[in-house]
Amino acid sequence: MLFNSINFALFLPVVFLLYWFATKGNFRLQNILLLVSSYFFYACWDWRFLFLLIFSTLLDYYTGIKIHEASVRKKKLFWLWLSIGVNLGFLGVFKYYNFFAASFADGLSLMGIKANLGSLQVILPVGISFYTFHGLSYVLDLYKDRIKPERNFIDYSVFVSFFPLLVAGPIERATHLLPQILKKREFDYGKAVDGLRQILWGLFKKMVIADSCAEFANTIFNNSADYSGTTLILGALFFAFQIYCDFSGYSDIALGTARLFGIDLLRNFAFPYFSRDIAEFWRRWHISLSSWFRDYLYIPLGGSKGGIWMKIRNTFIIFLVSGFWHGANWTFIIWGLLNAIYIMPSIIFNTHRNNLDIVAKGKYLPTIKEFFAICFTFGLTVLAWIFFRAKDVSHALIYIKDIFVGLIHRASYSQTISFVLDKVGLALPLLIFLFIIIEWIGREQQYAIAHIGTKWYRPLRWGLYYVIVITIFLFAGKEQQFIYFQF
Amino acid sequence: MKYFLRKTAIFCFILGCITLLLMLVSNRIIDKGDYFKIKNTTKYIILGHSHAECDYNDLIISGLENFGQSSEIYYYTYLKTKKIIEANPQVKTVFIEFTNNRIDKEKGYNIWSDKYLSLRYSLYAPLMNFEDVVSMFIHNPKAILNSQFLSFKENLLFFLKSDPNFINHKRWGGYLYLNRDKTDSLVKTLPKDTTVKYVVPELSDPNMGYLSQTIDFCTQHQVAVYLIRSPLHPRWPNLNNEPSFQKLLKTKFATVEFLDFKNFPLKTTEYGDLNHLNHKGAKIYSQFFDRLLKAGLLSKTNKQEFINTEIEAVRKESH
Repeated sequence: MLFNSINFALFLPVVFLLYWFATKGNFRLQNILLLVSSYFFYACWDWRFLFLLIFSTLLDYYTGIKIHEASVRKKKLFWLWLSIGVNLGFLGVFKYYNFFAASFADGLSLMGIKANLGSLQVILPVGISFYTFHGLSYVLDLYKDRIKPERNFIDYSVFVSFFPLLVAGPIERATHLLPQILKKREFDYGKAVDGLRQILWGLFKKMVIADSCAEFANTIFNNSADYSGTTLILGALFFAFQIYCDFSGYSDIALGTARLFGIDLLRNFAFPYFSRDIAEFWRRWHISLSSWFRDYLYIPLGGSKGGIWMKIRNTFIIFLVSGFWHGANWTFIIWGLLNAIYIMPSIIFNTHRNNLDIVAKGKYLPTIKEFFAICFTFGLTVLAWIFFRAKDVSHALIYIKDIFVGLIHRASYSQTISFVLDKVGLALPLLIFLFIIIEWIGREQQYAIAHIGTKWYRPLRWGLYYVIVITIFLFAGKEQQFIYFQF
Repeated sequence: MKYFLRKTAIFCFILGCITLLLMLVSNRIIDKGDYFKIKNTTKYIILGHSHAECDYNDLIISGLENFGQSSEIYYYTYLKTKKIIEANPQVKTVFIEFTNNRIDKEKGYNIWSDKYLSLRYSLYAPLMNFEDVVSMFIHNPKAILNSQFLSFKENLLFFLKSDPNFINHKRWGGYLYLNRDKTDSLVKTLPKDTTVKYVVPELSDPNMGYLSQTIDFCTQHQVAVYLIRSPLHPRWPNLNNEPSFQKLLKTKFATVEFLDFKNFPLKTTEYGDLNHLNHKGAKIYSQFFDRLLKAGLLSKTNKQEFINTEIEAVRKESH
């Protein structure tokens, strides 16, 4: 069940009404309802993988209690590693087995040894990377004595499986979400309206910008040999907007949906394309994953305490693991590596915390320096996205080579202009431009339209929402899958 | 909470009204507008599914315009025929592709499938009446809701582009230049035993019903209507319902003439697959069809006999 489907448009109001009316404010009943709804939501994809989700939940629930109860460190470690091992084992089998088998066989073939380790014909259970990381954060927090174990299985299961975040995050922490699940939720009008507004903005990003950009990004990437350098740049730009609007759109819908139920989820995006350096970009992009890696990998590895070489080593590890988390493909690993290289100067010169606030806070426009810094950072990000989108490494390298070769040919520019005029049209570039303006105006808020129009006269404010809804209708066509569902 | 629900309900109600109004108004403007004109020189039109779409090259056949569209069911053929005939009095003859695979029940169910509705509904919505939409809604409410937005989008884009004609851009089908040649490999996958084991299919009542309505409409408007079967590869598996197909022609469609080109001789390389001609086959067949029309096929008393004689002549010529 996709967020941008009719099925979800029917599912959500039903669960919402039952949640606030049928449970009569009893949070235990609310949690049972949320759990049943979440399992139903998940089963709509493939009911068989529901057993895997339940097993993973049971495992972390049980090992969590055991870690807490263990009196000696050795026992605690045993239960912790059991949980980590089994969780990562599932992830390894479903997500990485074929990659490792193929890479191992390729490695042996370089030495003249032919090996066929076979491949698994299994589909990747949707959301496995996300709920595995939920569970891992829970047991790791227990091991570090940051939290107490949750002994009510239903409550713990809601933490793992709450449907807005189940398939593509944000990756929640027990310290943040569990306390909200364990207390009585009261209906809050302001919160609910804000939630609806955030859902609306998320749908706009996904269905209008991301899905429209996807069409042209796919055309250009899938037939890159036929296009000139500047058209390839256009393809990379389309993909940059596609992936941002797709994933941040999903996150907005997830956060907005959760707010309808009185629950606040972790923020996942904070206008990353307005970043002035790569370190800032990574503080603003997929925040729940970046902070997960920071807290559960970077800091345990020593973080930035052990001198410059340890910092460099740990940064490379984080980015390589982050790339690998996205998928079992060398393209993701190189994407991670490239980002590690990008961030390196700021790590070495200790400038990575220079830009903590949003750019041009309290001002209308950035300074010239800030503007160029934003454009440069965006350019680097777009270059890295080519690896993320390409079908393999050689495709990405040829794509980048063709960009630079094509830049010197005048014919390249005319092909791009005719591609825009004949295929893309002017509506989409105008919409993207409008979108950037709205994001800029709303960059100090949680999401771009959080405050836009809130103080307007109601007919005007509703008029704005109607325009957004009708634009969504106009661009709605096929229910496109969200990119991050594959991870 | 109640305040929230009331506000949300009002918001949704107004949104529903705006959307409905925009859809109804845009459908009405298109339906009543002068957007369905075809060439003045067109005397014949051919409609139907992919066989018509691939087999009749209307650049070769003079006076004919092809409105065949892949997977078309007769409901849309009916809507299309009605509109084209009403808007174009110069059209005096309608050919409707009628082949063995059109009679199966499965084709009838396709009318209401998610995929089919989302593909077709938006292209024909301005032509549909209220009862049609209600009937579709009863069969598949989810697809109809989804398709409303697509239809609205299609209409709005039509106005934004200032298209002079709703039929432009192959919106309602047209000749498809098929560049495929995979018949040999398909034949190899068939069983070696060439004996046809006839089956009695379950008929698609809705699909056949709309075909009858199309025929009745043409007859009422003094437009000649013919069912036509284009060339088929002799090993096409769907020919296994031939007795039922013939029975249907002699009973339900006894009043309408059937022109059968099934046995028109073509090489395997001139088929795209077992039931579609590729561009080479379409060229040869279209030239033949054009010659027959010019030779007065439609004024002959026994048209099928004339067709058979001409096919035989081509067969001898090619040997």
